[in-house]
Amino acid sequence: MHTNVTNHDGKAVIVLQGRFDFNAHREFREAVDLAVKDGAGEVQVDLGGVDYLDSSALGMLLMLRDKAKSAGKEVVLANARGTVKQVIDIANFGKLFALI
Amino acid sequence: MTRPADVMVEDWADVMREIRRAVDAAPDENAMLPVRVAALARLLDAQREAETHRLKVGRYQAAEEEDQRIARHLIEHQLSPDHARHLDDPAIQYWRRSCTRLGGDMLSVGRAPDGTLHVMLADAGGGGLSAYVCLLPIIAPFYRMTEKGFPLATIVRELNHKARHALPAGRHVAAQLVAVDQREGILGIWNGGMPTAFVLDGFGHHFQEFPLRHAPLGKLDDADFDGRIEQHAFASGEQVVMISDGLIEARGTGGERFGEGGLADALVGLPRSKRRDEVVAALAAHLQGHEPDDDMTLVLIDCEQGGKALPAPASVKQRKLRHPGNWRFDLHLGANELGNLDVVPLLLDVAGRFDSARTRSGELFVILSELFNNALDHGVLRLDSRLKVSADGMETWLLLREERLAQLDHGEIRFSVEQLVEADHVWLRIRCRDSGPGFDGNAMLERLKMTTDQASHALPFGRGLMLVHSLVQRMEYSDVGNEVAVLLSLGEDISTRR
Repeated sequence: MHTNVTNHDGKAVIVLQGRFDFNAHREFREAVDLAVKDGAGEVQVDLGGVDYLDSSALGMLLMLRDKAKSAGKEVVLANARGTVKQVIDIANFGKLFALI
Repeated sequence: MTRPADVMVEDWADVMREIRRAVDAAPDENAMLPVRVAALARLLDAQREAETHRLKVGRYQAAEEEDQRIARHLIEHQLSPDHARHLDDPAIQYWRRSCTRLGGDMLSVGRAPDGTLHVMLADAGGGGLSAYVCLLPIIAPFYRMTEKGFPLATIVRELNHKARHALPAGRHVAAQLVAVDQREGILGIWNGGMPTAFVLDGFGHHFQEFPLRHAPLGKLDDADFDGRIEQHAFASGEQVVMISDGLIEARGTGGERFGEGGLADALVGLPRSKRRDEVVAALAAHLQGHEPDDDMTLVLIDCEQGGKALPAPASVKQRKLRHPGNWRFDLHLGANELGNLDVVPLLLDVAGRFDSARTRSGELFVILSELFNNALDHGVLRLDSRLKVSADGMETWLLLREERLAQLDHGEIRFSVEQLVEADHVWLRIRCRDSGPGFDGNAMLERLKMTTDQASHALPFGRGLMLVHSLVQRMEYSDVGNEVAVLLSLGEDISTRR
């Protein structure tokens, strides 16, 4: 998986591309640390470029949520599509994250 | 003398006649002439005003009727082009009567890929165009999610979510959803704001009721919403009866309700094939031509065991590849390979070479990844899921996983992926077996099913199994619990029709 963290209109955006699973853990954790350190009040995860995602990715998103929460920030999941969107829906993540 | 204000003036001719009568009257009455003319003028004004109002109301009514006609057409045809075909499902008999102002009843029927029948009877209440517009947020997701094979509990939760966000405050949609799984002989019902649904035996007697248990769709936030499905194991020959409140509340000429009693009386002692017509006749006798105030809907769903049989997924016997389009591949991975290969993309790549599986790579990835990671983490590496619960659980887990994987000197995982064609339906069967001691996977699945809608997102583990379970049509563990088999529907077989 490829990660990139930018600051966009006052929110930290983590752009993910490729396969989001176990193997992406280190990159994702680094991206999360960067994004949470950012001054913004919102962390957005752009899933538009993610082709595949499994339950370990869901676990990592929950980890991000916990970290963001203790820093007083909201996490928004953006642009999920196809099976990625389906997985997020099945896991009821709409209850925990803002989905756009 | 007639008092002008009481004269109903039909048109100008009437007015002129009245004036002429006044002028021709006896001379002693001529003194009254100015008074009578003034009264007539007032009458004329009132008449003109009434006429303008009548035209306005007429135009308004015509526009409203047209709006309602268009709204109903759009909802029935646009949101579900196959609407009529679904309603023709052989397991369903229904009857609908709309009141003139349109009451907001809507019947939707669909079949999941595994053949499970989904029926939704919704009543937006209030009537008119706004009632139909309120149905918009729920009809399309009902069809879409049914076609994708989502379980009823997930669909109900999503419909509530959609209605909650799309409808203005104070507007809700009462709905009753039924799933009939003919293979398993299980009936599932969720009743939010609708009259009691019930099951009749072969003789038309009630024996199981599903009363109103939940708030209508769109009333509660996700966190407060209860999407639990009531279940009933049925025997062949039973029939589910769903009704809208318009039918129960229908008033006869004396103002009395048709009621649950009227409905039960019409149904008792009759075979399934005669029940609908009997209820319609009893209702007509009750109404005696009286126009109903609300839409009335009656739905009868036949419950038959059997239907499309799935191949036994956990069968250890090898099936022959009799069908010309069938294929299969097996992968055996030892300790060395488990430590060095990126297994899931490898499996996905091979499966993706076959036509039937290529378009399903998103779902296949989730299935293969979850099955493989479970087999590796628990079966081979013997990691404990409870590790993940602590604050830095994920980190600890990953470190331990890497450490054990590096030291791994024994253990094995076998994968088998194959296409099966049964009765013109194509299935993909995926089996995964590990060298571990196994666990009670079927019991775990049962527990997950119970919590599916309650707090599934909060589960520290089991999330992966839940995902697979939601995506496939069948999932089973072997008795020992170190082997799991799933069946994924790939749709109708078209290879023989080319």
